[in-house]
Amino acid sequence: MIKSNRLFIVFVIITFIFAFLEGGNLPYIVFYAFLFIFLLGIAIIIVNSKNLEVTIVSNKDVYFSGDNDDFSIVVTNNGIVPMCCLVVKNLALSELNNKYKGDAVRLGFDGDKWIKNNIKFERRGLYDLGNVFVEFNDLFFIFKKSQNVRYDKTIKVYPKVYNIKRLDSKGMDIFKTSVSKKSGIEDIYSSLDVRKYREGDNLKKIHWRVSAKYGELFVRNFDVVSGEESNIFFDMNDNNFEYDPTGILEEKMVDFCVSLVNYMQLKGIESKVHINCEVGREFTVDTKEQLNDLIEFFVTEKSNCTEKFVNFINSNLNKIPKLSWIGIITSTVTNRLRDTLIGMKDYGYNITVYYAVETEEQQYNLGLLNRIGIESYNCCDILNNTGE
Amino acid sequence: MDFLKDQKISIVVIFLNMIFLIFTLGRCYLILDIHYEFIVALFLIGTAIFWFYEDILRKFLYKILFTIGAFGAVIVTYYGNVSVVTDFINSQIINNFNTINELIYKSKETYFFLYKPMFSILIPIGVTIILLISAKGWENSVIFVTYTFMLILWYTGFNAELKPCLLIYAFVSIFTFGVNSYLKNRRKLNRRGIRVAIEHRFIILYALIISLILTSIISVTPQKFKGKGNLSLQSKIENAFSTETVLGKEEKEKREKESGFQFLYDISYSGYDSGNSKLGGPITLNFSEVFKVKSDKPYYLKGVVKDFYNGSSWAKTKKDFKKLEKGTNKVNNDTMSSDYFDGENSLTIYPTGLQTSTFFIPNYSFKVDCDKGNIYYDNIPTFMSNDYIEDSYTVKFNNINQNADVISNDPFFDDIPLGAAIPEQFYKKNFPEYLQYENVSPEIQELVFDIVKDCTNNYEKVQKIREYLSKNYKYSLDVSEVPEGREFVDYFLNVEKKGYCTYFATTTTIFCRIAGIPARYVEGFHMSDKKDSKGNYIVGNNDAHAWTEVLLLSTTNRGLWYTVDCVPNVSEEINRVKEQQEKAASANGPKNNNPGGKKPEIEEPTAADTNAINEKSSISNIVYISVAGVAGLMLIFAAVMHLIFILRKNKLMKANSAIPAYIYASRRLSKIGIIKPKDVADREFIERIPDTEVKKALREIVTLCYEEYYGGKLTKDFDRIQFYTEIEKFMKKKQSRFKYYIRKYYF
Repeated sequence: MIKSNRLFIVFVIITFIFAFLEGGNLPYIVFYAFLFIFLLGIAIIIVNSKNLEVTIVSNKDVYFSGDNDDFSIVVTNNGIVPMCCLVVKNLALSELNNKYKGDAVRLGFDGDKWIKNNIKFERRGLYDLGNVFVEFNDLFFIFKKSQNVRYDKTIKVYPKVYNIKRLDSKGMDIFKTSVSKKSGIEDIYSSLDVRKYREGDNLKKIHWRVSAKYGELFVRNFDVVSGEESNIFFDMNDNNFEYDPTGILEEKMVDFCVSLVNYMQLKGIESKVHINCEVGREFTVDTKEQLNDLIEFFVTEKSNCTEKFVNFINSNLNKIPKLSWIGIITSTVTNRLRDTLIGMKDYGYNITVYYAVETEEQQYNLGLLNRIGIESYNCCDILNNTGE
Repeated sequence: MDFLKDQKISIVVIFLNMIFLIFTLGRCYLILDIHYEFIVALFLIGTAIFWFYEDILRKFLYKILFTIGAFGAVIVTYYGNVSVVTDFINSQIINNFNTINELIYKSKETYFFLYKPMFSILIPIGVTIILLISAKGWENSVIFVTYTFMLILWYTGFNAELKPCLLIYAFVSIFTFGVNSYLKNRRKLNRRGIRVAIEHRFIILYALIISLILTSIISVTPQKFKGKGNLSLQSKIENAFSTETVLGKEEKEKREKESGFQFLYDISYSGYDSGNSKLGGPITLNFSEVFKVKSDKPYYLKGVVKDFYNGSSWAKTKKDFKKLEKGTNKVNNDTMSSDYFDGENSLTIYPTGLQTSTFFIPNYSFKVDCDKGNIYYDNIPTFMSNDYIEDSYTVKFNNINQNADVISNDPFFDDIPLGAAIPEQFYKKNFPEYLQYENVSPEIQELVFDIVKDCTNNYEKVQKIREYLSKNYKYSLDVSEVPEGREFVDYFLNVEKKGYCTYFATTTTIFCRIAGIPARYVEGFHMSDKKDSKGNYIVGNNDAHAWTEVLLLSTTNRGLWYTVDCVPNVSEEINRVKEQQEKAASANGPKNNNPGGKKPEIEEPTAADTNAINEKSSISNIVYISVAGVAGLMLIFAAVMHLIFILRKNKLMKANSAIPAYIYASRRLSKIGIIKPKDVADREFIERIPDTEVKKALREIVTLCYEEYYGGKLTKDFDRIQFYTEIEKFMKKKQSRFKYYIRKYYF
């Protein structure tokens, strides 16, 4: 779209009328100056619009949430007419960064410029970096042309998988039996580490020799758990954004979910992830490939479900055997959720709640849940404690 | 000081405009001895005041307070020293202003010291105001101010002085506009939060180049169009400061008439008399057209009639021109020659090349009709305007019934006044100005008496003088410079012994005067037979001519002014001499036959006619020369780069080692952005290249290079041509054709 300075066109007409009526060298020279500036402006705009090329260069095409990296917008002038003022704005970057308004550069004839920008991918998803808005003028800024240039550059940002080393549990061990990674069977004679007995630990794990030596109970802490499966309920209701419209907390929740599943997978525990999303999905993750499928799912899925989490849990609970461990990942524990969880606990489920937002109402609810043996943890804290 | 650094471009641009304005003012008002350093100092004072206001007194309140305070101080100073201040204003400003005004009226030179007090006040204030306005976003106010000044000068009658400056004005204004547009939009971009990475110097250079290109284009556009409307702004602008307001109308008319005098025709405009306002000397003629004439036959067209001879030049003593009022049918009711009239005739002249205020008229004209400007006439009559005549005009004149009013070799006419019966005293009493001569030696007077001793009447005398000069002196354009102080006729007769029309015309006039015949010297054009396709006669500078008019009376109140031309066939002479010169030049090479002076130059038609046009074309010449120079440099550069390319290619092709080939390849690839980082090895780098063909070729050559460089093993068998072709094919694929060739050979 070419915009022109209307006032200048009016001046061209006025100077022409004046020269025509008055005659003489001075009026005509002034008119010619205006006219030739006008014509030159049109010519420059037409020539430059044919010769402009935009390319995007990035170091990678795949990132994880929280990553930041540099990328360059390369603008090239293939013609012989210099561009004295070219405004370039990457639309994806301007959505991610409020402070970014674009760059203005000049291009010599047959020259190029690499405009470096830094982008931080706070959230997962597919980013189209190839949509660039350009605007250029002639030297006298009489004409201005703006257009959107497309370049094929899509960046995929995955949720970040944190390396959770240890899941805290106050007292009870989440999983009843744990086995050595190497053998896959219970081996009372081999252990990677030994720790003090905590209330709730499986008595079978007690390392009698060490306990006898020290006069205190010590248990074996194995890397792998056998025969266990975990059930995770993950809430992708749109109220995840209620407390954080920028979506950072929602991102943390997703990161935690995949990190947790990854932790389970490394431990050899099969995870069944029930996701309260628009369509309601269930993923069974036992292998790395299955974990990748889950991660791929999250790339394009945002928290936009309207189904209440409580309803979702209730409708899926029948699939879960009693006495199993259930992880609840939610932004906040509402009263209804609290009551549901209390009910589930009564049924015999072993529940741990992971929340993202701290609120007063929630503190009260969590306190109640704690008293009946349902532990709760802030997933952001867990991620922060990984040190990554 | 950071503030001034930000504003520096604006300040420089405004400075440029100011210097241009002062220069133009100097040209128009003929200001002598302009001290530009004084002007620069005033400009710096203005800049300092602006900086003080904008950077020190930042708040609006402070500015107001300071301004009020300053005004207050001025008022207090005034009331404290009323007489001193009033004296200063009267003597330094008002008096100077009036003096300047009067000098300009009279087209006289003015002096810079007269302007100093006014400049000292106006320039700092003006500069401060313009800088303040520009800083507020009205950068182009300086263009508006410059334009206003130019308009004022243009419409107060300084067209001729301004014309050479107009292209410079166009250049300065376009450059200012370009730079201001950039600054304004840069500020807008900054306000939008856009990161601006544009260097000022690039834009300034670009603006300079564009301004030069546009000014060059403007210089060749047609501009001499007349206004189709009736704005006539020039006539509406009067000098309101004139002290002679009581005689306002008369003074205005006198001023208009006097302005015409500066454009009166002189034969030096056409190239004769070497333009030094003295007669004779080497000439520069040209064949450019001056006007076209629609008439029934060729005429002698009088331009200016001169009567006073001082030994080295002619002057017109009487300039008592009267304005030709509308409705006048005839001027100077000529009763003396009316018996010889045979009906009225008219011719129309269409000026094309010559810029003058003189109307060219045949003998016995009685009226000139011209649409534009005022027409003035004297008692001869000759006619002039108050400005350049650019429109066509019609001259009405009387036909002379004797078939010719030119004394020539043609047969004697019956009724020609012979002037025999009129006593000498009559002529001396009634036509003293046409009998005057000074510094003419007694020998020449003797010679004249000798030539005319047997004549019984004036007509015979004139014929004898004509014969004498035609027989004994040759027409020639090849003459030497007349020495300072030497009497012209004497030099012609005794030393030069040849010359062109002014030589003969002067000598004829003086001889006639010595012989007691009233004679006057005329400069004008002698029309040739050359016509254009429409049947109008074409008159060029080569037709410029000088001749004599002699008064032959039959009675005291009956007679005619006759045209006497000793060299009537000048055009043929000029063409002949030109052809001879061209032949001589081609046969013998350049040879100087004239020991005393320069060869006469006869140029082909050029655009140069008058001084004003010369100046304008000199500016165009500078532009053309600089463009040609730049083009020449670019060609040389291109040739050198091409040579370097050929040498490199030869080195690549003829070397035994593979390393030059690899170096060539990496240099070529670097043009499209494939540059090997320092921390990456060659082979590793090659693996990163996307194109498989080129990768293969490079892999091969890198292996050879490694073998050679590290292993000392020279390449046995390596197809260089194939490799070169491969690389170039890849380069062609990756770049546009234009870029490919430029990058290959030149960059």
